[in-house]
Amino acid sequence: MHFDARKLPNNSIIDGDICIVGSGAAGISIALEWINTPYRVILLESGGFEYDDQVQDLYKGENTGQKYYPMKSNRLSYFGGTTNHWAGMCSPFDEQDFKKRDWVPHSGWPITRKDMDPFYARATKVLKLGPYDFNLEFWQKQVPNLNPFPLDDQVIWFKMWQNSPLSGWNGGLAKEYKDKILSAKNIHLYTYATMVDIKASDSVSQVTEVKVKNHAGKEHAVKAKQFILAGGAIQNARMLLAANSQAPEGLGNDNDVVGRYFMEHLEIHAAELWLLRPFPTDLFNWDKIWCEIAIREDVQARNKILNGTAGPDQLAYKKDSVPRMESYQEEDPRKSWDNMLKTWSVADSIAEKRKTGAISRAYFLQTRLEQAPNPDSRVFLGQEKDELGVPRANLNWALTDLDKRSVRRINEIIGEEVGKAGFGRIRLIEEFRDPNDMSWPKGTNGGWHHMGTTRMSDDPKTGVVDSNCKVHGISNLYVAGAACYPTAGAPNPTLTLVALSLRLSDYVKGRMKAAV
Amino acid sequence: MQRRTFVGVATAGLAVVAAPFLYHYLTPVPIEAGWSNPSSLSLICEPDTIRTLGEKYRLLHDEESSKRSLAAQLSTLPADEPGREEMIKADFREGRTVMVDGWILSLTEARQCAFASLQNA
Repeated sequence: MHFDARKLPNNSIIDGDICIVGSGAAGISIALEWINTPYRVILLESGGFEYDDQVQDLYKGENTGQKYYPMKSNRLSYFGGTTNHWAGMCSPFDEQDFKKRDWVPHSGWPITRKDMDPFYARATKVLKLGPYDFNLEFWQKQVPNLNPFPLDDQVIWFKMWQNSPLSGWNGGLAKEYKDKILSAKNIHLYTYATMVDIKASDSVSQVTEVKVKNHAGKEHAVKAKQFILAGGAIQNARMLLAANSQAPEGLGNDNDVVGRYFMEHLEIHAAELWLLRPFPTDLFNWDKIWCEIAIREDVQARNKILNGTAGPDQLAYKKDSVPRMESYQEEDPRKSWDNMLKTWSVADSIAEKRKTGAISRAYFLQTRLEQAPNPDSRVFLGQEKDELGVPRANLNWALTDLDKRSVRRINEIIGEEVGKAGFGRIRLIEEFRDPNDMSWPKGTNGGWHHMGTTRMSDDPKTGVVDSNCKVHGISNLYVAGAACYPTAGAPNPTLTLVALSLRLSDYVKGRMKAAV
Repeated sequence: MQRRTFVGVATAGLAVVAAPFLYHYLTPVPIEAGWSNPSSLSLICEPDTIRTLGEKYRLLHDEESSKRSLAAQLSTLPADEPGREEMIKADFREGRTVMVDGWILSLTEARQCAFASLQNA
């Protein structure tokens, strides 16, 4: 069922069993799980069903660190959330992504890949992927001509991806699930219901209600037994920090962790791979399947580097492309998107003139790297407030020397391996040649992947949520999504955040049943 | 010792001492065809690029900036191309690599580039 919160009488009380704040990938995935259950689920969406610049403006804020996409345009605020711009790329995190690694400060999840596997399998269904199998051997039986480069499998492996048909180009999760959610009698979707505050019991151990507002001047209260924040890593942290009327540092922030450890995926064209001879393969053919060159876990450990992969794109086409961090700088996400696509078209037209000779066998390698968890990389409240009275979120994206060294070393390792195999040569771009240079090139892109601001830990001193994604110290408040990641893994976050949301959903269901 | 005798003895002594050096520097450097032909790299780089890489390698390694010093380093290079390619792969296998202008090269092929850069010098 759908309600437009602008049309409700002012100061309405909205009552439910579960309140989910946000209708992006996490919120929709959870809501779907509760259809036809005896529980009333309140699903709150800040925007409507289409882009609305006035609502989007609530996201505006400042970037104070490493150059980043504008805060207003780096997410989307309407039904479906940022899946409306999602590329659809899915791959699970690796086993080592969940482990504590001595050379990666603040690494280690309180859960393992094995804990996640059943939820990954369910998430593939939500995202309309193929079977939960990401092994090259499996896909070679499905798709012809998936020939891997002949590199030493003790050092290199090939990480498979699946592309979801629910990408932003196809309307995101919104298009796929809108009707299903709207026709579910026990799912009450409220659009134009922007959460502006979270109220807790006197002891601040339980959330009692959340306040929502909109530009029509309406303010309502949402009461529920369980509250799940599913607004994305920036917004979740912002709202916990802004809920400071009862807890001066914000809810769940007794140990100054909320907003810290913001992570992105570094996506940098750091090297060129030149093949000595033509090598026919469709393994790196976006239209058929996607695969990236990955480094074995023990090799990462020996080299003390982060987990990262390298995705080959034809050099002729990428050589003149403007870095996304340059072309996506408009405050209006629609303009940024158009700008980015235009630069791609220009690069493509140049490429058509130069794609003969050795360059036809050359690739630009995009390193896709987990960012090292860093407490100084953080979301924090600004002085300015948005139109609904909530302090704006600012971002200090901060990278470390380990990030830089890892990008360089990953490409060096690939260079050594292609040379060893007599297969090709690697050329690093200028900014990654000097091992003592810790500056970042202008092509230091992020993937619009916001992670880690309410990280998961069994210890409240080092994490905001526990292993069930429940906020420490508050009995009925949860965070869904990539905000909970202690480390970022190399793959895009959506598959993992949907899996983690389904796991959270099961946990909350268990608690609801136990309470009966 | 008479002045004339001294000059004669000194000249003869100098000649004896200098002879090996003179022989070393005046004798033409023996050149094998493969020394200036990094055949794999030639599949992806133009000759000018290879010579430029060679010049950059020589700037980084002053002690290998002459034909003679490079010839000494390349003297064990097999005469046949497959043998040379195997030696280059072995360099990569055993960590004998060098970065020149961003390229991760085997030490042997970097020296081949350097030798090539001196061929027309």
